[in-house]
Amino acid sequence: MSVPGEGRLLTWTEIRRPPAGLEVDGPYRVAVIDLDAGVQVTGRLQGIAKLEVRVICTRAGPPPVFERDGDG
Amino acid sequence: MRKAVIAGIGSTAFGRHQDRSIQSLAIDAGCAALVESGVERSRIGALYLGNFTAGPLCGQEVLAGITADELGLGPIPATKVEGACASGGIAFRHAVMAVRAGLCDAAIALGVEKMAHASGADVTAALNCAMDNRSDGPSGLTFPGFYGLAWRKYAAAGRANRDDVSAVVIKNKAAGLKNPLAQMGADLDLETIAASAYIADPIQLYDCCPVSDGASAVVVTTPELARDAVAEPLDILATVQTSGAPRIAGHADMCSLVATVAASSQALEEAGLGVDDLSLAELHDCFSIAEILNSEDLGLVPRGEGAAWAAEGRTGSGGDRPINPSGGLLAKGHPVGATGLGQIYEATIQLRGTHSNQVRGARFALTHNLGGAGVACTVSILGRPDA
Repeated sequence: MSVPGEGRLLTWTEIRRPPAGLEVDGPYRVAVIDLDAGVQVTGRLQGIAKLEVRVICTRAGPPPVFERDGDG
Repeated sequence: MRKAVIAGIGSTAFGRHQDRSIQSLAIDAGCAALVESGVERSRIGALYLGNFTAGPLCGQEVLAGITADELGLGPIPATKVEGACASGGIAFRHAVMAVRAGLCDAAIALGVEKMAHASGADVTAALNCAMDNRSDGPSGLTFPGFYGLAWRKYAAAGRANRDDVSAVVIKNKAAGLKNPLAQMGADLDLETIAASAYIADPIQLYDCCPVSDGASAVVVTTPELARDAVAEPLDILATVQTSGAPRIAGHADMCSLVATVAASSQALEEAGLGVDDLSLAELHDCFSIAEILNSEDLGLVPRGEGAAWAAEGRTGSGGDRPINPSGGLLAKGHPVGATGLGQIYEATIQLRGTHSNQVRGARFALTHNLGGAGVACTVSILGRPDA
């Protein structure tokens, strides 16, 4: 099952101390997105954004990657 | 059901035990609890052991059987229980259930962890086994990150800036200086905390509990068998275990965990008490913001007031709602599987009236142990027999 990757940014953090295996990725941002389809998901966030802005999935993943959608 | 009491407690210091094996830490705590309880080893009918990372970090499992054997308990059922950081609290609850149900007349609950020898990345990876690794793990989330997500959302409501949350750090680190078992007590100020390294924004270094080794144990028995105990036995008024969503995104509100809310209300009902009857709480402050969120979920502090109550001193050991007079996980340390039993240990000493950071006139104490992203939780309430 798949749902459209569009929704609202609920919150994000920047991981400065990644776990073993992900060290080369760090630092990176992880966000929780409230998808319009009615499900909340965890994914990576590209760029920085205020809470509640519109975001769109730009890579299905895993992990899915989200960016701010236009002017949000 | 029969009544169950705490007859004896034992604990190692929490911290770095570089030259000690994980087995010897468990034996130390278990021996101390057995001796204090006055219960003969032949009367111990079950052992429950809380541990989370001994497999990946120490290459050792079957710790329950090893511990029962070396404590000389005979061929009793020895069971490891696992609920991530709530493993110790779950071990305690199972010992209580065994005694209450009459399966045995006495049981020992023991928690142990040895982590400080491993690298930070290896510890983080081991702890990440407590996530739902179909979703949160692959996203690169860590537990500091989990609480960073929660804090940013909480702060968006204008309820917890840096200095607000630092009040919890200052309180618990100061309490740790008074606790001889604590790993990392400190006299901190707002500037030092604000200048520390970012771990998972807005979480900074002093917002995180240290990585710890340690073990704690509790002997649970009937009032009759506890007659030879060194100290006055304490009543176990409630012990509740709950579960919740394993994924952070599975929580409707990331600033509130259903498992904690449910465990608290069920425990208070079981004990027949209200929050105003509680003299103190030892709750799961794995991160500074976690103390604030947990204190609200437990009903100890009104929603949105957790940071303010800490800043006003209301949650200090001399305040009207003392929280973590032991220093909590932030200062005492967090040897994961031992933490829940360490909380019972601290609450027991408070109710005996002999704690080094004593809450005056303590009669009832609540302990709260939380695992994973709110996937497992225990809340227990202890009371003085004359309360």
